[in-house]
Amino acid sequence: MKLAALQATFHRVLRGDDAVEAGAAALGCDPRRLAIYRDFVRGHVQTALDKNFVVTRELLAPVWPALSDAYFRDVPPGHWELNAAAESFPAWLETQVGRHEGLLPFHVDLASFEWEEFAAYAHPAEMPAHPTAPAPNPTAAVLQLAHPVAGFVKAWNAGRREPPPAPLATPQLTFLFRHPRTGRVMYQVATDDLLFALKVAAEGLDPVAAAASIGQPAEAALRAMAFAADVGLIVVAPG
Amino acid sequence: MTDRWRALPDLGFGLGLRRQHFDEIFDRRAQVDFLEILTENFMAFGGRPRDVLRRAAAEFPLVLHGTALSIGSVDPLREDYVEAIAALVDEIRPRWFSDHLCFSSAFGVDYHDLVPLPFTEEAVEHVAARVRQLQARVDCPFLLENPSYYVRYAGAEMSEAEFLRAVVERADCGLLLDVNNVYVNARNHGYDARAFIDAVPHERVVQIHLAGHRDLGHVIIDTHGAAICDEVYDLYAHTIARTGPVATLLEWDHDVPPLDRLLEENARIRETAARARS
Repeated sequence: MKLAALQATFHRVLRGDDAVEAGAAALGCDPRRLAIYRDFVRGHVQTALDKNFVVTRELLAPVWPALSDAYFRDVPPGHWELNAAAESFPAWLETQVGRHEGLLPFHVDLASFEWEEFAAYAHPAEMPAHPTAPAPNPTAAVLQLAHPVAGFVKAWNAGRREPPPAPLATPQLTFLFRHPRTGRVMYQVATDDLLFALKVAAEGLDPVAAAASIGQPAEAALRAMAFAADVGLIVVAPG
Repeated sequence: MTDRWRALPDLGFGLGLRRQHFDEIFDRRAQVDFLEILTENFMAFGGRPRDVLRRAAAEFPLVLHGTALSIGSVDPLREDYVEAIAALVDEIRPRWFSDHLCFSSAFGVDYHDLVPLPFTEEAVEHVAARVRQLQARVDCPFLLENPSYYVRYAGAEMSEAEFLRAVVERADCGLLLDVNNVYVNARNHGYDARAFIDAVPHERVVQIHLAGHRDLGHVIIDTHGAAICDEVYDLYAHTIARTGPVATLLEWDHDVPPLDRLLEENARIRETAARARS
């Protein structure tokens, strides 16, 4: 068998398009041994999902095997880094709402949040080493979520198991980022103060002047900048 | 051309750089001669892994080892992957980089596993051409590793050892000889592991891997998640007696134990190599 035909045959088995027995007959190999590869390849994607969506997986435990199996079939991994195989899961999960018992739009938001936690951890951006002015944290992402996921995750991490929350009246903006000093992944629900600080940092504004232009006192502006720097949403010079 | 491979240094006895040991590996510098970096575990990451990698590059000799090059795939070599390797090589200056003689992606899909190639002339020529292409792009010596494999295809035109030799000689690359893989493959496919070691081109062996495996009875799985068994130690001694001193790395990627346990195993590897040389 030519190399291209061999790889096409193997590929169909790995993707579940052909049965192991059919592939083994074509390749002239032991079907039990061929099944090892089929199981490994599927298992790698399932492991990536398990690791990246820890809370979502636990909440959806009864349907999780069916979900991860269907995701493997529907979304072939297209990147050499294994975690990237999990990146499309939140968007795919959204298409599954109504098809699996207990799967709610909240779980889609939660999965988006969990993926962004990993993305912030792995983000390749370098922190400005010696910023001369406040700068936005280059690892920051903003999620617009219909459900109060940040509060749910905070309660979860504190050991409180709460029921899936109802949708909010208006979507909630949540920032996820790697802290410039500790390297830990942080999240913050957007507040007026954080949005102000981020705007000042992104546009290189004078915070006191920016505050004055919206009728706010200088102390409030400086307090907002200090808080945003403390939580790590903006990067400032040490000290 | 083989002098090029003989000239690469014996780096001693190394370990893989694992997240579990980020905090303490630098305190044990005297006990670890070099570090192996799993390419995909660092190449796409910023933050702490990148910071630790930079520090490791400053304090240890490094080698890079990948699993996703897919040198045997019928797909074209991936530009993004090769560019990322070249950039990483420029940044951390490893002594060499390596990947497996297999395909791990095809038709645009990544398997994240090592699928064996057929032992055919077509596969030899296909891989050798791609290794030459790679070596023209990345300014660093490249080694191919003999992978563990569980299936043998009908229609083989040569033995595994002949296939391995043909590829590395025609590609003019180095050989990363995984002694545990030789043992696992010999058991799984019923051949003589020592005869295999005798048949590989010793002058191209630049690095050796040792690892643990799991015997399921009907098949042995190369897990990298256990201690090295006595039989693999014996095969390692047989290898070193033929190759002379070669940089040797303990691979332990799953159920990674405390660093002290790895250093204990590495001490045994060191003693085994010393005995084999004497």
